[in-house]
Amino acid sequence: MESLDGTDWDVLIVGTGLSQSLLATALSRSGKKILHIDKNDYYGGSEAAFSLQEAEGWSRSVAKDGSSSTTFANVSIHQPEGSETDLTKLLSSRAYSLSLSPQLIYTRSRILPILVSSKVHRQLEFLAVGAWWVYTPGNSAEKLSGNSSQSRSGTAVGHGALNKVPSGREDIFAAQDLDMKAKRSLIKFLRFIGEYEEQGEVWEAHSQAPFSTFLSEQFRIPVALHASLLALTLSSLDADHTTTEFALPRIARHLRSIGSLGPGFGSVIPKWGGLSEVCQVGCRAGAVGGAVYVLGNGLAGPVIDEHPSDGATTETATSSDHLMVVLKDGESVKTRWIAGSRTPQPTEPQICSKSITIVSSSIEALFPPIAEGAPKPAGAVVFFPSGSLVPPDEEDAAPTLSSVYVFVHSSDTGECPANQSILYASVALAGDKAVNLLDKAVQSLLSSVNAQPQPAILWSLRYEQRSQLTQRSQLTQRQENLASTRTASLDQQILVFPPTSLDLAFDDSVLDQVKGVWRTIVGDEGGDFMVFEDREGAGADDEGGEL
Amino acid sequence: MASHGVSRVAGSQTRSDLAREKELQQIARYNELVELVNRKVAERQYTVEVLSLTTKLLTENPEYYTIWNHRRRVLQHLFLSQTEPASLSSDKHQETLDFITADLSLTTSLLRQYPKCYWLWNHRYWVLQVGEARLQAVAARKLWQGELQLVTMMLGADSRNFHAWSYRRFVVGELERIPAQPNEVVPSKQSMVEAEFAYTTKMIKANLSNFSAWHNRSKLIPKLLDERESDDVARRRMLDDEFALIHEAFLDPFDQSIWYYHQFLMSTLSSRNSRESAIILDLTDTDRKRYCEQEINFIKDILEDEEDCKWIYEVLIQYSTSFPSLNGNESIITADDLREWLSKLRGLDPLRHGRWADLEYTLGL
Repeated sequence: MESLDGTDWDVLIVGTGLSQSLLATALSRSGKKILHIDKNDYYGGSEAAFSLQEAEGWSRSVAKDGSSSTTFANVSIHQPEGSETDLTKLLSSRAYSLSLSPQLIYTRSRILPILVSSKVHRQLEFLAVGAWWVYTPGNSAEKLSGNSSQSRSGTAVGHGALNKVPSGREDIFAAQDLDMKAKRSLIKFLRFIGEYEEQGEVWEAHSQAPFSTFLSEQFRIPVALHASLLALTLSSLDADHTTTEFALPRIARHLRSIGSLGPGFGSVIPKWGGLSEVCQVGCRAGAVGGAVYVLGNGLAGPVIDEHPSDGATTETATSSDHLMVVLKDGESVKTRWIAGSRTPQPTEPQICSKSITIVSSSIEALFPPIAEGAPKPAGAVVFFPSGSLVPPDEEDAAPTLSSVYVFVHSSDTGECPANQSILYASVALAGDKAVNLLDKAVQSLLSSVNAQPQPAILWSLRYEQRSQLTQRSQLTQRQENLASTRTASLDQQILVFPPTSLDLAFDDSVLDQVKGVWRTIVGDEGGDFMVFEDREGAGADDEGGEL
Repeated sequence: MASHGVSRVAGSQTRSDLAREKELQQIARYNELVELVNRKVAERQYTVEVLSLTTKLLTENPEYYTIWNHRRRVLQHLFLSQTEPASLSSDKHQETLDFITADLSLTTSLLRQYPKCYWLWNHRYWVLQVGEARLQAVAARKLWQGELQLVTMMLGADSRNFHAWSYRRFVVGELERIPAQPNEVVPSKQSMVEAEFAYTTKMIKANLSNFSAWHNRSKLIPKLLDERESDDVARRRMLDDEFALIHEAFLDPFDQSIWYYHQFLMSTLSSRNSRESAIILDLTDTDRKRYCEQEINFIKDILEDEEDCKWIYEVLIQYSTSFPSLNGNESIITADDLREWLSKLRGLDPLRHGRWADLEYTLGL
């Protein structure tokens, strides 16, 4: 391969995470000279998917990196001994595609029409997310009397129960365990949520109030049902600290999405490894459009800093309005624009502990059929409300943050072989408490599904991920400022995406950011964002004639 | 525009000049085709060529019903010269079957895109009628079973398509009529009422707002009871079970379709109800009073949770007029009740104030 030294580009994109990959797609018909690099030897960045060996490699490189400003930290892998039997074996490394980005995509998300209009959707397959579940713990009498199952680590976990969250009116109609008053109050709330924006008088006065209080006072919803509604918000705070203002739009999004792409489900996941597939497809589109891709190459020195005057400068402005950048191997390239993403600063407050667990069962009980005419579900969501895994008096700090979500992916996703599943667990805490919660969540899930034989944990990965607090970044502000100026200065040529959000559902604001960066680069003659015609030879066939 | 709470989604697109040019060309080609077909038909050219021209035109615009008429004229001329069914193994039989299958497959593929086009359903009906008269019973029955499958699939795609529901009733009727055994004149034990009743239960559980499913159920229950030869006890149990079911469905009193079914159940209590739609055959006045009071009390209970649901007030007033025994001194509906409900209606539905004024007059309030 020829050296990059001395080459000249319009755009240098650093990193192949989701934002950068979507940007590559957006620019793929612009005729710009684009160099797209990634310091890893795989695509996807923080959204990547790994085989077992790749996960091990990643674990080592994160440990080695050790700098204080990182997205990931404390990666560890565990393979329990004696977990393998003839029937439940860990298969070869490549049989697995474990995703760092198992976010679900709501069917009304704008990313889906964008993937269609940019014509990359044919390379992607989406699978339905089916039932949502809420965990309620078994009572303490069960624990004491020895009815609880012993996990391998020796701590007793009671047989809790998983209750399905009703996904609409007909589910509520069919529910046996609710009385008419409870059912009517839920229906009333569902009706309200359908058009809550026009009923400000019902909720605006309570927007900062805890969601729990709002449900009890305004809709007389019994406390036992609050967890089901809270689950739909994917909130990391418990019901007493999640605000009404936060909860309502998220529940509305959930309910309005049901039925958009097919009956009975409202969210999807990409096949083969979460958002990493979208990254792959996005970069492929970029390559077809003429961009040059180089893996295993990054910027020399620190990752793009918004204030390059601090510390080591890697860019200097030249008089011809191009930036000069030095790459890892000492090559120097010139480029008009640089786009990349920022890693969170050590002071950024948002942190999440996550685990990926391979389990030796397909856990069919979590994937009941969705509805007549609906696709088979490949994903399920299990919510463990604060206090359901660890009794409140054992907590000293941040009991409000101990809600755990587990996304369960079946082998239909291609992420694991048949008769196994992947559990993606997360909690908005760090440290030993977080690890303990995630472990307990996985154990409790497995013991409450009553699968025979008892599912075993074959392998698990734990890590921490950091991000900034809000998704609305300084970037959007910047783009507005840039619109009014034409003279490019050093600062304005470096376009920075914020760190990957920790939200468990895909956040559409990512698209706004990509669009903002794209608009800055192409100016006013760029045409419509992500709207392309099929390339020659890729169109649909004509219909055959008939009698 | 919303239909019973389900809004239609319109696709809106911005069109480039190129796309507009393309569209103008398509319009010109279409108009040429229309002119060609109409001319040929006027010249009475009922040929295979003209048949395929109508196929082309109808595929583009199935709503152009005159062309369906032309098509039928051509088909009649080409395939329908004889009026008796040919023998099963003859060429003529096969030919008739072929033309039926071809036209059915044309309308099937069009129905997928236009599931509510009257002319598609009508043409299908015509094809089956004329074809069936010229086919042996065995072949005809297979066709109708195919129709049942089609209708089930269409209802799976859109359970509220009333065209499909009405067609379903028709198909079921035909299947019940045509003997399964070749030598039977009148079919024995071929009724599909039980299966159809179970089908409505399934559809309602999938979507409570299904007017057509509730309506179909209301048509089936009297027939079901007759077929089962249910005695009076069984009949009462059926009515009680149906009331219990609809009570469960009142978790959403704003859903109009549920009130329609309740009104049907109440109508079977009326002394003016016909035998065909009867559930209980030996209703006494005491029975009527008991059922009415039971239902009125249940509905009044719902009012505690839902003051602002106008259906409740409308239905309560309606029942009081349909069942005069409810009014009067010791009854559970007083004139004050009626006044209160009427004033609620005025508040909830001010656009219909003329109607409420009229009602007030009729009730003598």
